Amino acid sequence: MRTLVFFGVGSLINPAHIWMSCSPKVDRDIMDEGQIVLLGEIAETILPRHKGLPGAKDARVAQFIDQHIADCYTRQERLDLIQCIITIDETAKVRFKKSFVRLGAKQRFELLQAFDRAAKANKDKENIAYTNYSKLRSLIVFGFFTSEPGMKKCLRYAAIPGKYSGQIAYKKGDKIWEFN
Amino acid sequence: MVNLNIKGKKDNTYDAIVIGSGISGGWAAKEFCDKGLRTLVLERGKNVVHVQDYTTAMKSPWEFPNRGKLPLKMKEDNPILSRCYAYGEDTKDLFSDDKNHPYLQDKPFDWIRSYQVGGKSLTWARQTQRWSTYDFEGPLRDGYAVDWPIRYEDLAPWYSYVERFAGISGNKDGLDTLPDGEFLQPWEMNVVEKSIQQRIMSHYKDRNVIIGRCAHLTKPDAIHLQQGRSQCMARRLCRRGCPFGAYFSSNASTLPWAARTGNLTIRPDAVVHSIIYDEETGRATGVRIIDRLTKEATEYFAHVIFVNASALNSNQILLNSTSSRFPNGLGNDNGLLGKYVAFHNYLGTISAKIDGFQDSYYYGRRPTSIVMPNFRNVHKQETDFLRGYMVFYSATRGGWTRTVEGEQLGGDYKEALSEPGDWSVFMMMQGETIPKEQNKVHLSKDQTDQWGIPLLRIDVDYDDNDTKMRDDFFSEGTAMLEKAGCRDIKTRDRKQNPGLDIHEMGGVRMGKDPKTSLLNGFNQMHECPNVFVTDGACMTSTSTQNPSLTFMALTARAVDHAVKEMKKGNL
Repeated sequence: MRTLVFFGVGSLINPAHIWMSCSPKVDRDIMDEGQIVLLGEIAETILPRHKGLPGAKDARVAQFIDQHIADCYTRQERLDLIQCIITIDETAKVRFKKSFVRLGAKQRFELLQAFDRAAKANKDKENIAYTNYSKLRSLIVFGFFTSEPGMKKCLRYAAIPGKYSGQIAYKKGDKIWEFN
Repeated sequence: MVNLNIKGKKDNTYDAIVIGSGISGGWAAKEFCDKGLRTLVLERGKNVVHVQDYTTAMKSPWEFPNRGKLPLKMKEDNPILSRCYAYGEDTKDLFSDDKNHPYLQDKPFDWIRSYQVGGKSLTWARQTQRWSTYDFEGPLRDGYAVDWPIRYEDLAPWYSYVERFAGISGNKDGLDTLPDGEFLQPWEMNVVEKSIQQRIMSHYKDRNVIIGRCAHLTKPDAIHLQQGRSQCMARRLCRRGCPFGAYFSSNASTLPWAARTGNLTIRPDAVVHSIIYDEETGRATGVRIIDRLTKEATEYFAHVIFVNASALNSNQILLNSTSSRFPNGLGNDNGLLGKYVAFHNYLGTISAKIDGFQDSYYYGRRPTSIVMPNFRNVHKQETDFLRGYMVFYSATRGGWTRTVEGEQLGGDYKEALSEPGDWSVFMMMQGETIPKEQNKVHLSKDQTDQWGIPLLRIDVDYDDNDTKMRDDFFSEGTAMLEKAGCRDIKTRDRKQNPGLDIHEMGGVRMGKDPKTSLLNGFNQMHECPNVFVTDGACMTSTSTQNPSLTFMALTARAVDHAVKEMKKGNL
């Protein structure tokens, strides 16, 4: 029941509330083409092309996730993930009367910001917005920083370091190694 | 009815048979071959050719379909193995799957196997510390297990011998609790690790903090270059197999060396069924194997047999080697075969954060960590638990999995994740467990594997001593990290099953008295003197060190003894 959610100008979106009220039931545990495109745009909003460096779409994060969840996730985990991206889209339709992929960058950011804040404010394992959105974001981050463009362009990648030094100078802006 | 394929005893006869090609088996093969003995190595797993068969070694993270995460199917098929930190998409071919290698758990025990030429020497964690005088004296002083039949002085020259060949990096620290060895250049500590070191050592006069010692060629000597090995590249992808031969493995080091003598035969796919005992001579005459693939039985013969199948497998083979003289397993007159199994206590870990040091970072991936040799009950009993633990720690800067300040989305978020976070510290324990008669392995009476060998039943558990030791580590580790300036110190019990430490030892223990032990001071069976056991099965106690270096030294020493005895006509 979408009608339970009201938005005014500048109002905060409460995804947890939306989740409870308008989230559709999902019974198909693989993404269709449209959902992969949607996930790609969500991923790009979280990890966009920025300062000339590649973003999630360049790294084909959605395509990776599509294959990865088929291999590594349980059916329930796949359903939760798909439900999460559908809920984001449904929220877009309620808030902006448009599907997520048709939103401008600012609107997309505003929408996911609300999910991010809800996730942050509800560090409660029972809270689906927190658990599912945080999981989705972690998976996008994983897919991006383990991809070739993510690792090579956005991190410091050394396939063969050749040696170990315990102390090198670090200044703000220097990139992280691809490992911890 | 087993189809025996005896091609003629002569064709199948060698001077020495070594069962197993892992760390200790590889050493036995090298030593025998160097001394001119025609040696057969029986390996139950597939062949693994150095470099050529390290199929994932040069792959980039994104070349793995799931970037290193375990597919659900792999997890479901391998509920035990998938708990092992080293098992993954990149290393799956170097571990033995659960499904085809069943065993029975009287109590939960994670038995991690790597059946292949090279065994676990390909997948081990490569940390190598000598035992000290205190470690060998422990059981006698504290009244558990039995007295070791040897002391540090007996093994010290053999530690030196194997260290020079294997290549061990380390710093000469001058500690009696962790004696120095023949070291290649040590690895460095980073700035936070050094700061913690200084603060702990200035506060606790009896505690030492050193860089770990590990089997990596930081600066190869001529002997390592002769083996075809080269310098460690600090990739830390070791468990895929090292194309540089930079860490010690049977495949990179002992086996090719042995092969060059012309005296070595390796027989992969040879699942050892039992050792054949001859009642008349009172000696073992050979080994019966079942081919892994064809299931065909074959017998091989030799004057001397080394059992290096890995700790619990060696127990299984001896228990299954029955005869009218030894109805309960080879050499098992006292009924202690399979008993007094012990392992290492890995229960405790601690994590913490530390402020500052923002202008410092590190380069490369170091294959070792910081080590604190045991400081508990070293000179006398001081705590409400027996023995002690080694502490490992390392400090790193936060990676891209962390949460950053502000919102977790957008260009700034991505940029923040691509820079290192604050420093954090990870600390863990490696504790001695006390060998007890009730911690044992035995054979199933009614279930066999696909090779017709009775399944091993494992009956091993923690006890109060282990939990008291864990709690002591929690309080001491927390106090030390507080003194070192850390904050947000969090203790965590891994709650892992025994076995997941992959340091299982004992069951065929060494000792002075045939009534209370299976092996003498040269790892020779009291009751069957041409059979030697020099892998983890021989360990009377476990101490706190990573055990493989000690297996290497014991093996080289035992081969030296065996060959001397053969020359004297005693074997």
